[in-house]
Amino acid sequence: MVVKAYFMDGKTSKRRACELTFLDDSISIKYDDDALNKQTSTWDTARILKLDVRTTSRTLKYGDFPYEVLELSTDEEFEAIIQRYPSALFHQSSYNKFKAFGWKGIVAAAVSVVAVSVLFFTYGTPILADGLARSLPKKYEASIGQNFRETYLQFLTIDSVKTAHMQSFYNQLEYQSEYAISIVVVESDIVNAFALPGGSIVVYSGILDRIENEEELAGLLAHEVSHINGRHSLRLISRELAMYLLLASLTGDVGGFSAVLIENSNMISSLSFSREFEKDADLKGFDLMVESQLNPQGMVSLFEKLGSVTDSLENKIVKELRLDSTLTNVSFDSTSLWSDIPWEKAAEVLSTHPAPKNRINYLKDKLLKVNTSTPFFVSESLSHDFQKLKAH
Amino acid sequence: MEKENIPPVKLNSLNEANPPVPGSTNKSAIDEPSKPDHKFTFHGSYTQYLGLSLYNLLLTVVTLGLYYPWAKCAIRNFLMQETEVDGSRFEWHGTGKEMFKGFIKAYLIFGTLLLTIQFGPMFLPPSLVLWVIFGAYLLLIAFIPLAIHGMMRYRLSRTSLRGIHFGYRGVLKDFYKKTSLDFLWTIISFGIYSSWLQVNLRKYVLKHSKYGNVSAKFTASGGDLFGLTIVQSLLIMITLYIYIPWAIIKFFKFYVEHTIIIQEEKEYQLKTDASGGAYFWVLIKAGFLTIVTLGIAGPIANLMVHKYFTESMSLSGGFNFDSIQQTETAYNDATGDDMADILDLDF
Repeated sequence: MVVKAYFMDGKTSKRRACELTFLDDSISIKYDDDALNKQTSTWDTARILKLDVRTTSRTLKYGDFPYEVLELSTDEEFEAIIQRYPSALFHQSSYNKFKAFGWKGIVAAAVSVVAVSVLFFTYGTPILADGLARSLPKKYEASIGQNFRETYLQFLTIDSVKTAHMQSFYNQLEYQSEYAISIVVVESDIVNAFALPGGSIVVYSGILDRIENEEELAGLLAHEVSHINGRHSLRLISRELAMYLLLASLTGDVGGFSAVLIENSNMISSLSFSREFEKDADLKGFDLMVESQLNPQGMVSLFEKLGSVTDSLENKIVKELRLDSTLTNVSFDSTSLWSDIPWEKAAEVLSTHPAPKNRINYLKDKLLKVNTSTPFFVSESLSHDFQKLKAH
Repeated sequence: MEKENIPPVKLNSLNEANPPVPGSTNKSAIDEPSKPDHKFTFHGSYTQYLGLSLYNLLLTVVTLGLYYPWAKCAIRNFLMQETEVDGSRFEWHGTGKEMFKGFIKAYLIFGTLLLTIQFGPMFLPPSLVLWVIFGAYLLLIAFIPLAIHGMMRYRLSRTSLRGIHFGYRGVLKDFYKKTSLDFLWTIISFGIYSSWLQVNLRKYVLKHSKYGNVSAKFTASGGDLFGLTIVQSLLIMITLYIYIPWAIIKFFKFYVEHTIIIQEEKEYQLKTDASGGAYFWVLIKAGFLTIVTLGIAGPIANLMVHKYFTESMSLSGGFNFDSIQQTETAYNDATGDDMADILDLDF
């Protein structure tokens, strides 16, 4: 087979008409040089540069820099060379094999991308990030919490008297924790409380106004301590960090639109992460109360009360700071007319916290299983601190 | 479009007489009406590009991002090989392995800086946060010339046409000397001076870019770009942003038409016939396609835009693609290229 093509010698861009002869393991290229002398270049097929991505280009390159170049005239001739050397490496690549599947390959790749991404989002990053968070030394965790606390508290007024009573109240509860828990009460009408990594709890005086008895306050603190024990804030941050790293490395060649979609799905999944942590803190906190011989009914009535509190601006700020705000991010009023419509289910998907009814239900289920033979009691000194906290 | 009809040198002209001997008969001025312009054409198939993008994305996801340099390399292979001028295709010689090494180095440098900026406020004491973030931003800016320098050296050295390699001969020290004041003025003037910065960067980079024994220059001034920016910004505001595609084309024309290619001391104009109206329709089509396919056809949309810009370009007809001498050497450090990628710099 003799094929006509163009040859470039790598020294100048001059395109020279040439004739190709195909030998067993090489291609012989005959062309005329500038002085019209006959020249031959022989290409060993093993040294033809690899075509990792086959396109409509019919160009082959050869050897070491500066490369010799061949341009074939027709697609048929180019294909004929490939067929002539089926086992030669220059036209073999995993992408070229994939390309041969045509539309089937494209559909399979699209489905796999979606499937693998979903797997990563739902299982991969949480496992990875939780491992990371757990392996972080407690000392470091405490310093992260300290930074948060300093940053956040500089905008708020601390009530030092109530802070002292709150700490004393907490100490008497004797909740199990590996962390030294330190509580701050800040002056604000906002109904909120949150836990920071490493042992700090911030309680707004607004939530104290709504709390009516010792058990409810004990329930609130049990919930917050469980966040700290479970390292929830840190796990949330490292999940976001892992997601950020994953997305940063993936979005490089994804178009702008897809990047926005991925960004939003990240937000939604991170909301549901924290919902998972909220439930965990409810259930673990419940157990802490029972262990300390406190009536967990307090936690149930607290959540029943707070279920009707609507989202506040500050809560949104807290959410943006990714602090673990606890109770009041309920964007749908469960006592309103809307509650008969399955809005609540929809709200649960998007809210960081279990929808109030759902939350009350699982806690009430747990309440039924509590061994009532153990008497619950509230000591006098606990009551004393509680009264001081309620006093204006 | 007319591109299918006029490949400047037809491959089936094999039996015709050889093209003129290099540099012998050529008496070209900047525009030589007797010779048709060399149009750039783009042959890439949308379907293949979609498949290649999905294939890349899948491998990138499965390898937790490590495949990215190979993906980028494959995309460049595709885009270069499908771009034709004067009957020949561009070639990309970079390899995934080279780009991976650069990627790791660039990520170690920028990953640290970007993570500091993104997550610093969470982990650092409040008294330090401002200083550390300010320092990180300053370092990011200081790396820009290095990234541009490395990107140009790698990218041009790894690109060829007809076996002749492009190249970049800028000297990093000179580049810093020439541009550091411009960066400083840009920061002090809150970005107003950036027109001059951009033009000066481009002047330096083009002056030191080579295609064999062919060189280039950029002829606009910072004042030209500043004037253009003012007028276009006003038009964008007056038209409530509808004018954006027209403005983008104005800037594209500005950069293309002030680029002069110099061959054997004769100057040739780089041209574009892009228009705001045509570009607007490309964007409408691309956007519509992206939306109805929920983003899956995003790569096709990107390629539509790429094709539009590529095919709008041409080079004055007098330029002789047959007489270029190989002058550049091989260069394989891709760090700057990956740095530029992270910083989203493009030339």
